[in-house]
Amino acid sequence: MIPVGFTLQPEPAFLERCHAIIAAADYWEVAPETLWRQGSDGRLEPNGFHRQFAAMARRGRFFVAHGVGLSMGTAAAADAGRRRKWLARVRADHSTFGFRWYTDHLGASSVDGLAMTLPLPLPMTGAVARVVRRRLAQMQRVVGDVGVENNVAYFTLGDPLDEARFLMDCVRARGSHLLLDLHNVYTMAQNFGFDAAEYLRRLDLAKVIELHVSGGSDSSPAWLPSGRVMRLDGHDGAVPEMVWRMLEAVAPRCPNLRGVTLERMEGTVEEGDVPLLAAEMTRLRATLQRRRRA
Amino acid sequence: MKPGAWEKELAAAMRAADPVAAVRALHPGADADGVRMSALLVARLRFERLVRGSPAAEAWFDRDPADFARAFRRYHAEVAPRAFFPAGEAELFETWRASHVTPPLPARSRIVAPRHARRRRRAHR
Repeated sequence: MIPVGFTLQPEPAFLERCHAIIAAADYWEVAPETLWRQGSDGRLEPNGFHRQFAAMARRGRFFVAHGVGLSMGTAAAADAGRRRKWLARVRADHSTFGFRWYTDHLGASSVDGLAMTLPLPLPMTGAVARVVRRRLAQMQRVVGDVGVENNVAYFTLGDPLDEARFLMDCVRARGSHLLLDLHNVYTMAQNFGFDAAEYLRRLDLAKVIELHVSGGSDSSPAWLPSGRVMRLDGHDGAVPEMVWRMLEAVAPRCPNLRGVTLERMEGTVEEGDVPLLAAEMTRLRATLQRRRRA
Repeated sequence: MKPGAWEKELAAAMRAADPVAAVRALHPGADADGVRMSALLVARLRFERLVRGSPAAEAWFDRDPADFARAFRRYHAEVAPRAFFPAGEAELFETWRASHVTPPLPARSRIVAPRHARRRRRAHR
């Protein structure tokens, strides 16, 4: 049976409300950066949630790391010092959590040494793919299995459907994997008007180590001068039916799949949302059981 | 284009008065709404980082959201986002504020923004 994971968010209300879901998960996903704070000397130090989650690491379940700050596709000299500190901190965290694998987004969250935070799209060139592979190789010296997640970008620097080819170029080395986020594919397809099935057809699903399942929401028409509504990757709503159908279609075709994670953002779970989340975890397991029987 | 030159252009575009024109210099076909949305989200994530790091900024926002938003827009345009964590962002903001003619930071307000509005810091993971 493929393990089912759930995100651990550094928020007391989230952890309290989702307690039963967290307890029932086979593994936990954390974003390492959310467990750090920067000390006055610039060093990255564990915060209080780091200690809380570290105690959970001794309970028999495993952890996977899903970072947001390594900035896979950027190589500015101005960012070199930050990257070194980041990797050193991840190394220290790995000794605590024993991450089974480490993934980050295919994007640029630090651009020219500046904090964009939102992973921005990369030029889909061979030179940038080499930068991503170099970054993955650096990370691989810390955690053996590493990977890149297909991103949500609200604009692209090329044909959005071409991202599938670019992704495969980025993860072609041994030990480099693809984290396939199905809601991200859905969101990109919605916003750019392409066929999600066509995007999936262009991927080598044998490279997929993990699947992400989540929901999102639509932007307000007031946000853009055009009044256009865009699908946002907010992890703040129910998993869309289309994403469930994608999971059913894709999971059986991923021979090296090691986990499927249900993601939800902190600050988005009220008491009334918990039954839905619990039902989504149940549906996830049922879908993967059908995969096993198929 | 030299390797990495796109980084300078993209970073500048996200804080430019006209981000669409700036990004289209990199890729003429870039979706205009998508560029505007990205610039908006980059600013929003910075805003959340600041409010998490600075109780004084949070109190200012609670007391007078429109006034704080005006100040934040100027700050975002004038100061490069060199801080990756809330405390660093708060320091940058305080340095900027001290060198500008802006209202003094008010004492902490009793009005508290909804928790979820303050904590959505990784809305696009």
